[in-house]
Amino acid sequence: MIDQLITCDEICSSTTFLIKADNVLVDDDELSEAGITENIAQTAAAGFGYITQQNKQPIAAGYIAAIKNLEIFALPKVGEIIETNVAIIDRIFEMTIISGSVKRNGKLLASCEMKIYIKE
Amino acid sequence: MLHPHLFTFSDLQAEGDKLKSIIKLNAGHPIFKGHFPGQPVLPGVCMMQMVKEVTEVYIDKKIRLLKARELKFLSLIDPVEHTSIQIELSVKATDGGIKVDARLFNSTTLFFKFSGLFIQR
Repeated sequence: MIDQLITCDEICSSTTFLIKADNVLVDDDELSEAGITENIAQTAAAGFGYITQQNKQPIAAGYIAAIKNLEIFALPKVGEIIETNVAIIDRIFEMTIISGSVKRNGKLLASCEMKIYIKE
Repeated sequence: MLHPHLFTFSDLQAEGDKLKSIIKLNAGHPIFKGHFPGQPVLPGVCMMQMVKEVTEVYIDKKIRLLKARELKFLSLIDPVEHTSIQIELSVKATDGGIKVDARLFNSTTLFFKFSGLFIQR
């Protein structure tokens, strides 16, 4: 649930995503809370995947283990583009903790912390 | 809406502010082709959405999640293995909105713990 990886380094990744009407997580013409959360998770996954590929390592599957302090201020509508930023806060064994935020035209729509389990 | 294509629920029983139901997953849903190829796992965010959709049916109102302090995904849900899952919710009207605490589990495993605040749309 992302279109393009815009920037990426060992710590941060950012993506853009155009909300389309046929998205399974669109309800009443809006990307649902689940959709916006998945967009944060996939921005993290795109960043991990890109770096892993650059380092010529095998791509691993990742699962959300926990979400903390999720706040949703507004939901984006079909036809709108969202910009999502993720930063890795910590890595503890197979768990990676990230902080993510989603903006529309520079205005904050949602933010959370996520603990992601990466199966090696 | 993920209901009724990805999941259905039945036996919705209410007792005070507690609510119970049985969820059945559709293992043939296209979500499982991508998440992940050859290794179907219910995306965690779909569990969030299921809690919301069951609550909406119960209170007969459209709601939106405002904040969630903590969501824990404790065990993976394989739609082929876990065809039937229990959901238990506590739904309380507060000054700030509709507070929902929920769990998804079966006889042996706790899959998901949810604690969040919704507002009416």
